[in-house]
Amino acid sequence: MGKQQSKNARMSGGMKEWELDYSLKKQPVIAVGKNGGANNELRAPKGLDIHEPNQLIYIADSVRTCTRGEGEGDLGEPLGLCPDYNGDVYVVDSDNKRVYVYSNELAFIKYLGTQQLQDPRDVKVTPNSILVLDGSPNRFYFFSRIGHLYQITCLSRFDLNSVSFFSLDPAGNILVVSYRSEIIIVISPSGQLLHRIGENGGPPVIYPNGICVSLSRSIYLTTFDGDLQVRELIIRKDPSLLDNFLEEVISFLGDSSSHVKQFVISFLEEACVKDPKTIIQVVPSIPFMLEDQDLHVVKRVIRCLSQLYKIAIKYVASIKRADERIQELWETMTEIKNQTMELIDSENDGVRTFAIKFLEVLFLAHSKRTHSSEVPAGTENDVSLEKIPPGHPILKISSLREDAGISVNKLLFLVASPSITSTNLMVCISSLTTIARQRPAQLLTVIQSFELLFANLPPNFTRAQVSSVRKLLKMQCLTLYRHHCAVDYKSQISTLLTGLGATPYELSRYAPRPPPEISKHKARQELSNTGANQVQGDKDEMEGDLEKETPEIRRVIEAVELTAEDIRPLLSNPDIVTDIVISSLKRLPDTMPSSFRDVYTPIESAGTEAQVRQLAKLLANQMTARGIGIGAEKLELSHSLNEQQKSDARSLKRTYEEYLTEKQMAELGLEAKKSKDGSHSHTESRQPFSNILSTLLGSNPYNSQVSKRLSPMGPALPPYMQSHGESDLTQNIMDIQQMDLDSKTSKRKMAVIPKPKQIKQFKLSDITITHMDDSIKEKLMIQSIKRIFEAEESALRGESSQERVKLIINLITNYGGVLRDALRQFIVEDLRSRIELALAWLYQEYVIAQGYIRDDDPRTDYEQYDACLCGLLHALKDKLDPRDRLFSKLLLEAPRITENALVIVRQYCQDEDRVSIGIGTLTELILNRPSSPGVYLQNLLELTIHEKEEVIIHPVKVSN
Amino acid sequence: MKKEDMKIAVVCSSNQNRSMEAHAFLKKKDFDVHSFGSGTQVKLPGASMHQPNIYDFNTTYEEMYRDLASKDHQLYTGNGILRMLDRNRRIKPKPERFQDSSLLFDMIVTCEERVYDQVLEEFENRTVRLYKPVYVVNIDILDNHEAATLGAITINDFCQKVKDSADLDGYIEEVIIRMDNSDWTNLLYAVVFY
Repeated sequence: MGKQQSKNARMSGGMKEWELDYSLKKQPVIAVGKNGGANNELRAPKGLDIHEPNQLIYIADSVRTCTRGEGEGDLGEPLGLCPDYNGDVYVVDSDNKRVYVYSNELAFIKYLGTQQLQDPRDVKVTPNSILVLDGSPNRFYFFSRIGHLYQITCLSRFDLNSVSFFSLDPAGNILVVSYRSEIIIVISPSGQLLHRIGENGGPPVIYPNGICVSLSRSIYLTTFDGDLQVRELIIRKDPSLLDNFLEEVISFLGDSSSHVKQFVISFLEEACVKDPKTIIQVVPSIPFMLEDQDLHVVKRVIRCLSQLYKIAIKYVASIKRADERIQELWETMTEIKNQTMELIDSENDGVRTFAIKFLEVLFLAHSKRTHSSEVPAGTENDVSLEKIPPGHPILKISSLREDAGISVNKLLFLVASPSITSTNLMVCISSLTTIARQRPAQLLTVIQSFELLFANLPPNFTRAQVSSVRKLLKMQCLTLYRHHCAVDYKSQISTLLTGLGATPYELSRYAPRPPPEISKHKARQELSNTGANQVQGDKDEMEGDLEKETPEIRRVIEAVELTAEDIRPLLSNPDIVTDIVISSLKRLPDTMPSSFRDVYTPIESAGTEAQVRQLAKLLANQMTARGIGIGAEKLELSHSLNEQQKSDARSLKRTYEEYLTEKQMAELGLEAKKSKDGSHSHTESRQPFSNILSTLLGSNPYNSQVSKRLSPMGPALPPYMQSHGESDLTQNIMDIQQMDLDSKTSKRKMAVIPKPKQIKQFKLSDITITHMDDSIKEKLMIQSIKRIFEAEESALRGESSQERVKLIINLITNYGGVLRDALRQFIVEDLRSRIELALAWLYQEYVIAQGYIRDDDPRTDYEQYDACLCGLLHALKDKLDPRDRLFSKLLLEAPRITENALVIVRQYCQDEDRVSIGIGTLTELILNRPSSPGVYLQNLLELTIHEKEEVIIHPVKVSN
Repeated sequence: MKKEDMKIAVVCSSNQNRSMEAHAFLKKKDFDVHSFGSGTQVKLPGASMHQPNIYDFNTTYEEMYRDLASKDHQLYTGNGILRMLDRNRRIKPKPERFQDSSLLFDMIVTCEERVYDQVLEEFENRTVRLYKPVYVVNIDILDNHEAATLGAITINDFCQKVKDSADLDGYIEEVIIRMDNSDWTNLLYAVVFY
């Protein structure tokens, strides 16, 4: 190959990628010309063309050539060039004013048009002819393939300033570049002007040089500063050409490069904005893109969907007669929508950000715009529910509205989620604000969720995150505050704002604006007419929809409201408030945490009604979060009701029984508390149960019976009694259940049985401490038994003293030791009334001694019995009046008189004050215990010879 | 993320000192950066506290330079205003107001809380059309030459960190948390949409 002055660079590379690679940094396959081999950087790229069959791009560089025309085939200043179908290359040399032809190996073949050309700029080869553009004057020369000039076309009528290069598109249109005017004109084969690209707000064509159009009709430009540019110029200029392009462009979505995909997506987005019809072709490829591996692509798609979705709805709504294609389009779109809504749970923060924004768009499109809606400039034509014709064959208003409910609930749920990142949270906040501003029916819900958020910012936020979120929240609240529908919630928002640190000046500056004059007038009209209040109507409608969608957040908000209402009066009681402050003072950390210092703002309106309400709400928030307070109980109740409705009757019965046992366990646990505390906490825990009961028995024939049983057991009853009464009651209820089950009508009634969700399965090991000091154990035992002792009166009132006595005796005899002493003391305190207890104890000891209780341990030792009896007798002796007959009563009732007991009797008989009782008892024993009268008689007779006269008299009398 | 893919705006009140310092610095580091003022007018220190020099945003740096040089060359050389204007006129012809710009950015850095507020308010007033997120980050920089130099370095550090993360949307939070532990004053951030 001879020394070639041409700077024809043949470059390889995937065409698709090239189209988007703006700056040309590919390595040339061959670079020829004097400087060609050394440095591959382009200095002044001029003409270019593509040889698609070989995937090559040819570029002429006019600066890096050598001296002009030194030999055959050497180039002076190459400008345009073009490969023909065989791979031969035609190059225009403006210095030598002729066209050179090279082989595909870039060997010189021949010259062309040496005579005619004045200032040749560019050349293009078609199957039939060779076109050369000449700059002075602007005209085309048409040569035949063998080099005969056969036509000249003048370009003067197109008013072009210095044409440089041109190209032919696949349809035969000619694109001519004017480098000074920086425009491209498109001329049809018949010579008509089609477009002027680069004017009238279209995409700018900057320093254009060489141009070529690929088979896929992308336009390539080399530009003055060495960049190869690609522009999607045609689309913006001529939508009619779009159809031709679209298929090819969509096919690039299969490309491996993330940049290409993103570019194509933005291209499609723009195409759809321009021409909604395009959406039919675009949408089918979207689901596939949503599952792309590259997150950038996914994000770009969701971003694009925010636009496409609106366009799709609008387009579908505008079509009255639905054909198959539209039906298909909407089905795919619904699928995409569901797919995108799921992405809100994506692992990637960025994807979630875009998904949240999509939900906002979805909601706005699926809800009605009212006259009180704020309409941002430029969105007047955006689609909203009221623009969809009722009874549309494809778009069902009810299901659209349902979607709106789901999307706003998702947002509300997200805002309340403690694990949300601050970025997502901020997007959520602004989305909700947008929703509230544009759909005032949502205003209250949004404000409530903000209040909830204000009280419960996610705990893991750093200082900057907290202050950023608070700042944004404040800003968004201020814009809500300004909304003319916010007048109703003025105090609510202003309290929230004050909490967020807004100054009174800011509040007055952003004070709710009065509604615009026209709408005020309208509103008045509507009020007087049957229309009443449309906002209200919308609200009801909206809320009606949302109710259906298990609005978890709404329930929580309601629960908070309920609890707040409940505790608010308490906060105006100085004693309670002082108690709360004092008890919480103990828990304050020693040093002030830095986060507190950053976010603390002095309370402006301390003590006012509004502030107390706010405070109550804050407390209620915390309480509800921990499941305390009436609101939380309601919530729990409705929860369980909901859950329960889903399961079948059999499992219901089981869970309910479990619940009852658990409940009893819990009650028993409560017994351990001091009765004072116990009855208090009992009141609290009782309440839901009776609630549940009343719900449960709402339609039950046994209702009255059960509630009658319920009523005598007020909260004042001691825990012991209550647990007893309740087990009775639960037995009763279970009977009812059983009957219901048997009668096979159970399902309906069973459906309302609550499932106690918050009560864990009771496990003893969970609450037992395995290693406990003996002394502590003893102490605790004594304490607990004492509590049972103290419940004497209430047990009496509850008619269950028998059971109580049994319980005590069993406990004492089983655990013995210190408990016996405790019991003795207890009995001694009031011997007369507790003699029953004493006897019961005595019998139990006897029974144990006889070995009746434990078969495995048939010991017949009366040690404990003896100790018990003697202890009691001693106590009687010490405590009672000497003439009290309780002594003899105890002895006569005792199943067995031990040696020691007899000693005590003798002591009695020898005591001057007690002698009558002692002798009387002895006499009774002799008469009533025929089994061993000898022993007693012996004793009696011995007494007759006693040293004291007083003593002797009595036995002698008896003996007589 | 590539440097050329990330479009950054630095905003201060008058587009003179802090934002221009950062603009110059980031430009040297090859970032695609623009700078703006958010105020209604361009204010420069004058002979006393109460007599600032006030220009509108259409006045070029060149004109300001000549104006001040003719007023009191010595004073404005002494307090560094002329040197600053000289630097500015080499970077771009005139100050730009953020509210008037229609360019799209990936990240906006503001130099004080008031400016941050103004930027967010501007976004509040715009209509979201493209759903393209932009992260607004505030760092307090005092309005003097030394603080501006230090501030520019800090902003550069931040931009480098963001650039090094593979995915702006997914990692901005992490970068913010990491920066929060450093000595940034009054770090605030928000995400808004074009």
